[in-house]
Amino acid sequence: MDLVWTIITVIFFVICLGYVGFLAKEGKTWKTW
Amino acid sequence: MNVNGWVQLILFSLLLLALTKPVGLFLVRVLDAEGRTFLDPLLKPVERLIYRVAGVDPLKEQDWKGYAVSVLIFSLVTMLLTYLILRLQGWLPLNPQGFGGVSGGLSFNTAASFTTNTNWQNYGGESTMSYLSQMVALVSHNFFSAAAGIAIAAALVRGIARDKAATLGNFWADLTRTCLYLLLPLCLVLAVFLVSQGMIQNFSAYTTAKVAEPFTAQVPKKDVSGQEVKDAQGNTVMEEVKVETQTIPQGPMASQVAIKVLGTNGGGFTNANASHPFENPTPLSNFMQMLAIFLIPAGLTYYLGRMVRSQKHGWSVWAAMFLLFLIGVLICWGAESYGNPRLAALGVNPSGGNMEGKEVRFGIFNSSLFATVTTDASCGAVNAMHDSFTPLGGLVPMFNIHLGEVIFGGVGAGLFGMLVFVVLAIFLAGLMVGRTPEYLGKKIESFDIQVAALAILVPIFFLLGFTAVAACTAWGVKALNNAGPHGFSEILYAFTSCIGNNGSAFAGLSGNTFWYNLTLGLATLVGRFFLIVPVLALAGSLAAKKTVPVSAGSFPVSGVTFTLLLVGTVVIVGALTFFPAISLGPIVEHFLMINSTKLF
Repeated sequence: MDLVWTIITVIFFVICLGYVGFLAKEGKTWKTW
Repeated sequence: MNVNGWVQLILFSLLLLALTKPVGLFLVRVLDAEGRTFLDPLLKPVERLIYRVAGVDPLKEQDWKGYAVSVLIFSLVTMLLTYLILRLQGWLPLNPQGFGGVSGGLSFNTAASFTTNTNWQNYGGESTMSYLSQMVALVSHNFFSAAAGIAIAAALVRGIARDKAATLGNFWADLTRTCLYLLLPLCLVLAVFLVSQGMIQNFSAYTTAKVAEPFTAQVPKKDVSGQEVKDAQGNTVMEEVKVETQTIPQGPMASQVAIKVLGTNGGGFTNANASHPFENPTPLSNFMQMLAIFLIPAGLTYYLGRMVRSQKHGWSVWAAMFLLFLIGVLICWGAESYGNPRLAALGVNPSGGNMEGKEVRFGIFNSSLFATVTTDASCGAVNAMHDSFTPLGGLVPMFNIHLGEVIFGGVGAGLFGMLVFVVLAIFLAGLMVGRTPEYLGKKIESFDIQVAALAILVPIFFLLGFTAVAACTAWGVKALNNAGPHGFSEILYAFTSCIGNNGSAFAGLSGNTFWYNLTLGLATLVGRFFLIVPVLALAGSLAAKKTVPVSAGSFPVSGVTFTLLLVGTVVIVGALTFFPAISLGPIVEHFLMINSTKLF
């Protein structure tokens, strides 16, 4: 089970890194200043 | 609601007001990579050594993406390390009780909980964790998660204050300086004070004492392998046991309690948390713990004002927070003082109020104030059982967390959460009066509102979603100790507490199961990082904008109107979002209590 809990943890943080990338892309799209 | 309570409330408020400015001024120095403090002769060499070992250039600033990635990588690594320590606890030193390794599910839940400044505990500290686990795996997170929260708040404030800037500061420098110059010295002073009040601080094995009056108790019968024996119907078989001795926990409590409150973490050394006489020995230690919880969040509002060169704005945010705090504590105190009318109908003197689940040393006022303070901030400490509060009294702590814990809030998290509401309030005000929304010279545009909305709505979506799933599934309901609306409140409170990174428990819910360890652990992670990422994106967006001079057409962000607008925005968003859920829990329970004989 240790591997399962570790994978869940890593996947969550990878999703967060993806969220950073998504917002960075959105920020460029909507840049109006 | 007696005179003693009013005097304490006024004293608490005045002390908080008096300490806001000095703490804020100190924060200005600490959160400047080149700032000087009176601790420099002692701590500057340590700070330099940390940078050298870690290979960090504190003056090399990061953009919002770099800052966010640093936060995420740091959190991932420290969470995995905590998981490892808890799993290997049985083989590690400083374990005089010989506790075995913590199970995988509980280790995941605990590691996630402490990494995110939540400190939700599906275990009893004194019966599960070794001294090493408490001090290294858990307390280190109490420092790091608090410092990370303050760092992110500082990054957002810099984003507001800077003009056409690409960077927000250096996360590693902010983290190091906050731990070294702010949290460690404050904790040292507070821990020594707590020891003076009788709080213990040792590494002794637990003490076994003979009880003065032996008694018999019904406990679950266990077989030779330690498993509970069940009868043919699946019910636990009970047996009578004569209790002649008790185990008194020992350990380094004062040092843990100091950061537990100053870092708004809340994880108790003992299962009874701040209602345990070792963990909260006197009314004065109780008072100082409450003050310590609000100390840094209040100081951060002054830091905001100083950094954006509008001290009035900082004080207006402080006033909005204080007004919400005052409303909450008065409702909670009033409800607990009024008590339970069903008990009064049975002939119990109603003047005592609702004392169920409260420490007699603290009474109704100090229990109500403690519950309000800890849930305004993201501090999971409790000195009374929230589960035993009256429905309306228990609603206040829960609703405080629903509001986003922006009422002073967690260290850093409270300020950046409130600033998201400031952006939203200015946007709404701009729509109402037909002006372009503008915050301290920065135009609020579509992307800013999108990330502000994401910061508010995504955690709420998961909170209500997890609650709905748990309330509809066998694993969710089976863990409850109470039925009806009170049982629903227990589920709602658990996910509210974890998404809000508060960590206090309504109790009455046995959370150490596979599904609760998984969902509550994920809830703590979502509540922390799905808020931090859009907040840093907002900071980056604001930093890049040109600051235009404030003119007659600018929306004023100080004064009574702004304060009331901010309070209104926070309350309306919270009320509209959570009214249906709290109607099914504490509100219906309240009406059943006063209009029928049904109690839950």
